[in-house]
Amino acid sequence: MAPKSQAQTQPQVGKRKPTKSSSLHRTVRLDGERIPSSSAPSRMTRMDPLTAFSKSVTTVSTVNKINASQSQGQKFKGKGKAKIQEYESENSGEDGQAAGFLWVDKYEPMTEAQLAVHARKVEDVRRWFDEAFEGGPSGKLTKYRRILVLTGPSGTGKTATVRVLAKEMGFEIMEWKNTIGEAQNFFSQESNTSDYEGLFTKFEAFLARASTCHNIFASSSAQKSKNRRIILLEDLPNILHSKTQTQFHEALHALVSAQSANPVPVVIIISDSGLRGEATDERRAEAGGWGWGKDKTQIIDVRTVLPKDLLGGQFVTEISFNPIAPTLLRKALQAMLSIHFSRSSASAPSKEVLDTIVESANGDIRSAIMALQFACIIEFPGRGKKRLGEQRIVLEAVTRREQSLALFHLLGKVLYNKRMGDPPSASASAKDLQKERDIDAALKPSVKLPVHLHQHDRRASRVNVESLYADSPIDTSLFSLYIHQNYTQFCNEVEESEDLADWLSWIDASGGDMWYQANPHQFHLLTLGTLHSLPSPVPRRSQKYYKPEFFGFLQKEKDAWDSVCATRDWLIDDLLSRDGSGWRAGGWTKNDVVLEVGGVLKAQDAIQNSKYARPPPPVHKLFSQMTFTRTGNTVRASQLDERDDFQADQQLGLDRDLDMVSPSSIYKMAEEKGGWLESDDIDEF
Amino acid sequence: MASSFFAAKATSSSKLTSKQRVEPALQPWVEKYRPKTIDDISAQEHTVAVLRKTLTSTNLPHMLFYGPPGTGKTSTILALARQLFGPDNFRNRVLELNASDERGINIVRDKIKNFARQTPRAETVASDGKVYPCPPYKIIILDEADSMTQDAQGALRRIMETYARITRFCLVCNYVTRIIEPLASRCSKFRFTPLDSDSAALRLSHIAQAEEIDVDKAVIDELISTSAGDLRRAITYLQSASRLSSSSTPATKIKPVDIQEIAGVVPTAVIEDFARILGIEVQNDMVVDDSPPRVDGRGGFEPIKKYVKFLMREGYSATQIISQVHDLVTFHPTLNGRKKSKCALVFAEADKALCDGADEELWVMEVGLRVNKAVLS
Amino acid sequence: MSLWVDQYRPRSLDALSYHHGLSERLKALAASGDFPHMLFYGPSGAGKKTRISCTLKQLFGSGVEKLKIDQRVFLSPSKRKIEINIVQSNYHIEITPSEAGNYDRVVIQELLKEIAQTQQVDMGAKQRFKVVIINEADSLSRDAQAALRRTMEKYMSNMRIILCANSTSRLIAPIKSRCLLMRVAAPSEDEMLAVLQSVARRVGFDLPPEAGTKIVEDSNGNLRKALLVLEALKMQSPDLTGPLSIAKPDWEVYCHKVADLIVSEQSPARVMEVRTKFYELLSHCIPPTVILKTVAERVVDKVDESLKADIMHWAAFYEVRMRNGNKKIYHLEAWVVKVMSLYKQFFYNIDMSEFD
Repeated sequence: MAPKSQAQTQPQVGKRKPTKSSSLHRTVRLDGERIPSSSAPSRMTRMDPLTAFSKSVTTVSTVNKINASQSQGQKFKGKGKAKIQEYESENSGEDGQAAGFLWVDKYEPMTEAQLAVHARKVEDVRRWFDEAFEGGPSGKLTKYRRILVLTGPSGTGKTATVRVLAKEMGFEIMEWKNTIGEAQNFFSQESNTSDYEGLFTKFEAFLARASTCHNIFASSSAQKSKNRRIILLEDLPNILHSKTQTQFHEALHALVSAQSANPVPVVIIISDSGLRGEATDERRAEAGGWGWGKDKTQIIDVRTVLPKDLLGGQFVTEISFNPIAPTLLRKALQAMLSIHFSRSSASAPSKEVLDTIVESANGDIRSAIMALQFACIIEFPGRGKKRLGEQRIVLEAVTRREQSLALFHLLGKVLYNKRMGDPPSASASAKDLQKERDIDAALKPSVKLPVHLHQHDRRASRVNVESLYADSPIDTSLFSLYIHQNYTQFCNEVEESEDLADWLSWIDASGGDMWYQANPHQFHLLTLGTLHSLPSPVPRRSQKYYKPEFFGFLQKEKDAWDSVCATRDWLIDDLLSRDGSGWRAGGWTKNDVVLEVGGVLKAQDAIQNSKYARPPPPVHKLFSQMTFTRTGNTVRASQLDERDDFQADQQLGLDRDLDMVSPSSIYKMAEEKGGWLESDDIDEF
Repeated sequence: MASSFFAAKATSSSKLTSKQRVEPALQPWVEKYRPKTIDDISAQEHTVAVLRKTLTSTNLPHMLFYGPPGTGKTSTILALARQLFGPDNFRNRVLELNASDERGINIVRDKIKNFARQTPRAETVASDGKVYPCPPYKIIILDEADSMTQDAQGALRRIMETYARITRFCLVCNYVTRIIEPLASRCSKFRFTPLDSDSAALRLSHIAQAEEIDVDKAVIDELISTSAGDLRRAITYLQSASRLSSSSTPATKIKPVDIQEIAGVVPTAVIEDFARILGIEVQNDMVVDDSPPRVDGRGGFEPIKKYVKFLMREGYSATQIISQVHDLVTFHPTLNGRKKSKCALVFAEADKALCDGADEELWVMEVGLRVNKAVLS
Repeated sequence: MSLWVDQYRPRSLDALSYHHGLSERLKALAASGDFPHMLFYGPSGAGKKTRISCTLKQLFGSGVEKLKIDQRVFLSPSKRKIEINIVQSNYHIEITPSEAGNYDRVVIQELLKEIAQTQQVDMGAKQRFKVVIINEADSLSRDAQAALRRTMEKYMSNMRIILCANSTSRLIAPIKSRCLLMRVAAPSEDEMLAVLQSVARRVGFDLPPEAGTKIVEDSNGNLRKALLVLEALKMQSPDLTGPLSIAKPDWEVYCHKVADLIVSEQSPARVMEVRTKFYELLSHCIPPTVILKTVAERVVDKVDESLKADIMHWAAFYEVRMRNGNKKIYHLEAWVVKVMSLYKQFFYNIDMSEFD
């Protein structure tokens, strides 16, 4: 983090020549007052990571050397997240000219061609803007293009896309920033909320002004037709605070319902980090009774940010971004390197380093660039094979968090249950065979168990659970769902799945309700239990992996609960509508409604004339109607693909709603050739 | 356990107190007939003997009272305090805190601090003319101390030291093992044993007499057996029963069945039928069974299932059924130890499951089936 | 018009058609002026709430029938909003704190304190206290029960609490000992039939005895369910003649078919199929315990005597796991796999013995 003093000094924005981005982008301060940007975009100071366009970097550096600390302050204000690191001391060498600048900011994309985002995504966003400003082909869509929500994991180019398009299409971005420090927010929320509400008032003022008062911002009325602007909300008010959330929702409602000839579109950017693996089931809180329910809504996602009616409504469009494909990522990084080292005496990092970075970034371009910058700072003495291992270790240390085994391979390793002395697979190459022999050589053969335990005898496993644990891209809860979804294919007989099913059940039930009572060994137990239970060797019939159906059904269940409540309300309303004597109105519990009222509702739907004051809500079908079909395999979960998911946008867009899993976890380098077979022959590392 | 009556006094919310005084009829008998002196305490001779000595010397150590519920722990310390301070000083010398209610140790600390700050007035001659020892310290009673967290207990240890000169603590709990060692070692420990039936019967008939209700021995026995040594429960049941019987239009006499119903106990006949179906022989010493002999029990799945369904429809609580079947099996004269052990295992598992909130029907069924299997094995 | 089960609900203790002894007691208690806290328990659909409502009417007169429904918002310690529906009249208030999940303690404390501190406004009221009805008391968390226990002692003078629960097992002893326990057993089959027939008469049709018997047999002591089935049946075939098929709710039929799936084939592929069916059931809000019990009972009907006890054992076993765990599907499936394996081995052994 930057030293506090720097962070707190009010950056003198006006004085500094190169503002953070182009002149079209203006930062709006919390009091709604616009900070005048520099008069003309005299010198482009930013570089793009994706292109080889060389811009005059030197001009930046001169300014920056003077204002090194200031620019840090500015960036702290500007971007907020973990972008401030103390670089000065470290890269005083040949990198000196760019001291103090993070590459992420320095090489920000300027044109669409430079974006590492998939072209179709950009096109989607562009079309939306187009429709918002021009009304699309029919010219009437303006009315409905009020709020655009961009979702996706962090570092997938959501903000960059908007900024680039702003430049290309020529509109202005008005961005909201929470200027009060995080810590302050936290305390004010804890103790008294007045402070925070103060901030929210300012937010509302910002929204109101930005969306209505055209003339304040328009540089001249003549230009009005050309002067388009959008409101960008990335730094959201603290919507986990229930009151703020309500206010925020109200503000959005007001914004959408406002009648304006020329409405200002709003772009909300939500990075759904920390969402993956939140696979806890809400049923506990509903029906479990005795236990503790889990607090589920403490996650920022589209559903908490936007009120429900808006989210499904016509005014809101959601576009979700996927992790950046390795090919695109590599191209971008290479382009950046070639600019950076075109003027430098130092040599660019080797291809291997680049590979490691691309591999470990997991589709997060921001972290990839950070890692790359770091890799260029630390010097790797010498080259050649000997050094390679060393570099790798260093880089792994840097990027450890991201250094993940693709989920696809993780599943493969566990479910194929390879053991010492397994017959080699038919299509294995000589290299693979050698590798297997090497592993076997390193393994100790398992000790023979006493007679009464003979059913637990297994050959030594080739799977190293510790390294799997370290490299697992997902948490245990989600991992267990994947195992659960897929294990049956690896069993021939039902007895073989018996132990595994019991392991899953036991692990899920182990540990207490509170976070500190959680079983810390779940991953190990799950993996070892799975390996122990599966037959050895497992049958091979080119199994495919599927994503868990769990989340889809969980969502369905939530909707169904809503319908239960609606039906209960209907029952109660019906009672109360009878003149004043609502007898026993509170008598219906949710479970009663679910289990017992279904028959009547069905019969009611079947006959035409209703005897009720108003018909039962049609949504009741969500819980009351079930048809049993034997062709049930159509509801099959979507397949987990080795090359999954950055290309098949449409498909995944749908999936994402269903299973809240971040696709980043199921992503794999594209160079590798696809196909199902022999996916078990994965490189060990 | 908790006595709001005194707590209310101590915390000067006199509004409620006065109200409760106005309606003595509504006052729980447990409060009404709380022992006034430690000599009134039923059946805890050893403890009482030791405490009587402290009365004369007026030097009280920190104390830890432990034992099953309803054995007179709270009553003892309250009576002792009353005898030490007299009715006038009682209020400002005794603080009763319910540990499970006031969760945070900070709240406990604040209360103790405030309480300890007030200087005690020392009038040794009380309004009722008697002379009380009135030693120069205050007594803080911590009820349900075993439900305090380890951390809170640790903090309490410090508090005890800080205020050692002017306060004496009395911790009251059910399980002494849940009190951390450093805390327990600072106190003299008194164990309270479950009441023997004679002293319980004595007390109950005393109350019945005072309330002018007509109870016969069968009722008293029923009270004692359903409450299993817990005098408070027995008194509460008695009060409920008398309330029911007196409110019915021709005031009826209390019958043992009423007690069972109030206590939520499953009628013996029902349990015995269940046992027969499970294949346990039940000898009918009191043959009131005028109904034709029911299913004789060679068990089998269907009869058990059917009977369990019946039990559930009747609304009996699973824990109650299981504990009664447990008693029946454990004290059964002819079943051998091996069979009993097998059954005991099932009872234990079922109890744990029900504590976890498991489905009652499934587990009564499980107990039935496995006891059946064990007995027939 | 509303559901018959609501429309023809008895409104006074005298109108109740079974458990007369209980009604007499309640009447006497209401008249005695010494009304205690009470705990009504018994299986669902036995008539607990009806009896509570009737008792209230006995206590306060018809004023309690003037109900209004409010939504109250409570704030959890972490400032989360908890919304609770509250049904109340001038004399009583009815809440279901378990709807607040683990914040039920907050609801209990706040609301009860508030009620206890407000005096009865209506000077003409028959009683000086207000009544608080707490539904689903057996799903209150321990914390909430502890809070309730203190409240019951503190505010006895102007408030009475009536708890309504399916079972007393999950209530802590101090609460049980502070309440007068009222067991409401399910009505007998004859009593149920009588109720069905009287409702039918009031609606204005004759219920053929065989139809009535069939409904009663099917509803397993749950009178509410029986009445709902009757109403659905009447809607389906208004004359109630001919071969009557009791329309079971969809979920029940579905569960039975799942059981058939389990018995008809035992293979990993079938496990997958059953899993999807379980997912469907869960996503229709059917409580997992109900799923497990319904499927298990059906499976047990179809297998050999020697397997039945084991199947029920594993059902009980995995039901507890389900309570402790998060992902209900794991436990349901583990049970299915267990049952399949048992069933398969059973047949395997038979085959072997035939060879011998």
